[in-house]
Amino acid sequence: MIAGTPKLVGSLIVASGGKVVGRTRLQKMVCMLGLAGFDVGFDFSYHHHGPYSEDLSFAVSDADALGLVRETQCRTDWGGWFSTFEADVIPIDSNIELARPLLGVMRDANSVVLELAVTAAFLDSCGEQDPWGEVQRRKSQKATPFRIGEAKRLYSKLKENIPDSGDFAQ
Amino acid sequence: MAKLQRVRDPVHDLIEFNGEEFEQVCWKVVQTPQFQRLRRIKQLGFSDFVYPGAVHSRFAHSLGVFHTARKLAKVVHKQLGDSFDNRGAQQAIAAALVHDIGHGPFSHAFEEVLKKKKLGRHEDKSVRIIQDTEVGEALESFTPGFRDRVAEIIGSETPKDIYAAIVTSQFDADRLDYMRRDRMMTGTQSSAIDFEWLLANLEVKRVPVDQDGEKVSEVETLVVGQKAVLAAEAYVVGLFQLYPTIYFHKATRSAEKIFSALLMRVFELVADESVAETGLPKNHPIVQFAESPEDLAVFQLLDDAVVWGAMPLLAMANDPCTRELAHRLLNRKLYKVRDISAELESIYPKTAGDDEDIGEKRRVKEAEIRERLKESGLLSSGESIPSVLEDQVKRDPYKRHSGGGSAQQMIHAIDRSGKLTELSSLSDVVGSLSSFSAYRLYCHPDDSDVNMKLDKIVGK
Repeated sequence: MIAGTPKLVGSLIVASGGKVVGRTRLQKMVCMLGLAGFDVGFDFSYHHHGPYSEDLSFAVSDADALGLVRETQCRTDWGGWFSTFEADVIPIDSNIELARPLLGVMRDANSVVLELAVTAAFLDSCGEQDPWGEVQRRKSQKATPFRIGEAKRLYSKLKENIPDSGDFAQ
Repeated sequence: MAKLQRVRDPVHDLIEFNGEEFEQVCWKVVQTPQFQRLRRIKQLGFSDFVYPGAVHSRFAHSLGVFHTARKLAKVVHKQLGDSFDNRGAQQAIAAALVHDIGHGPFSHAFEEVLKKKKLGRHEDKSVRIIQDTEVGEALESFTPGFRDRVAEIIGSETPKDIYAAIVTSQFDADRLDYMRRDRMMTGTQSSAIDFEWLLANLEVKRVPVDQDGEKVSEVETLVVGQKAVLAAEAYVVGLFQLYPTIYFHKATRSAEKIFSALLMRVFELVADESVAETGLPKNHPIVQFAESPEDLAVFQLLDDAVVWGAMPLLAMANDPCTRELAHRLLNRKLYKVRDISAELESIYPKTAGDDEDIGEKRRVKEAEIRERLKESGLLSSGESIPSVLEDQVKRDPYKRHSGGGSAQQMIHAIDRSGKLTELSSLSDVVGSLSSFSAYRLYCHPDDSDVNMKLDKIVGK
């Protein structure tokens, strides 16, 4: 079993095509897999950027230390910074193999839009009656009408890519 | 004009609620049962196991945050002049007063249990208490919609304007109070900050909000004027020192881990309909909370006093695990620490400037130990008394942009040319600060079998 371990992080990045851009994105991708029923082995709770797992953050750092993942700090042209995570040495876990289409959608999505969509899915799983309204209340800086529209479209796309998504929220 | 109210405070001396309507509404909030409950929640949880003086309450801290928020609002007023929005500032000051109203007993240790049980964060509880209790009624009596605006500031993740930055930012009223109060009440002599000078030199500027390299928006926040760069440096270093000294002290963390394990065990027993095994009566607030964690009225019954009152009963429980853990907390018989980070530092010693290769070796070794420990099964206890409790922490007193921090997590300062610059590029001290991280295991000192297994895992 590799759930909840640095190996899962490596396997997931390989299954995403070998590269994932952004720490927030990586957190949301793993969270979404968990919500979609995959055994990721990390518990998520609500944090500054929506659902977050400190254990996952530690596992990413350990994956880097153990040579399973390479984290690189990159600078943007406007002076900002972001991390990229690359992996190629770990075989893809059979559990994760099924998640490839879902991972691909999340890898290519805009990071903020992904954050909004996964946060709505997470709040819904916590029993929130109006997850999108709550996302707008909590993330007033990011949740512009345009981004919320994009996030809802992304949410539908994520749902389409979940194997057997019958129980997943509308 | 209503009567002036005065409170003596060890940090700020005199905290006054003047006779004006807004401050009288704040005073009314202080009188609510929900705010009075904060008298029975210690700010630092189990820290008095290490620092006997650290018994100050969230009540005192909340009054201090209110007072500091008022001072910050004056800074903003001075900076903005005629464009200052008094109502916006009042909303922020009221939010500062009630920001901790949703905290549970033993604050952060309880928060860990909430997380494990997926029961939300204390901010969610704060928002509900503001919306649905006498606190909200008091706020709403000031002006219609005031309650919702205050709840919005508490519930929002990133401050949307300069007034919200008084409540959440790198120089927010919360941190400016707790750094001084925790230092004073523990008695530690490090981590002093130049409070008045910092405040006198704060300015309002726009900074970017970013994520994963994308600029999302811009927001007004408090930045440091050129004359206070050294004071900001001391502020960051002070916070860095508070982590190992107070917040993550090994004995405090041992108590917190035992407390979390105890509560988790009690919750399991209640879920299994084995309340009788816990030693608690069926109507005890802890049992009620385990049964109905979303019930706000039940949550408000919980405080440190209720938990300490339950401890002798828990120490007489039928369930051996509950009994053992409660007995340990009651008598301060803590699990002993095995500080893996420190052990590795003795093998790969830290040097001035820390050799990168040595640091990397420590990191690899630590990751390997964690892998082996997970595989060993020592961490899963089930019904039995936990033999090993794991504690991994990492905190950044300051996130440099190049260290993965987002712009809103950084301190911006004005350099000699008047340009807004990230603090680490103006201060070599801040630039060289690393994260505080620790990896520790807690276990019975007398359990030779477990200790032998740990020796093997650690590689001794």
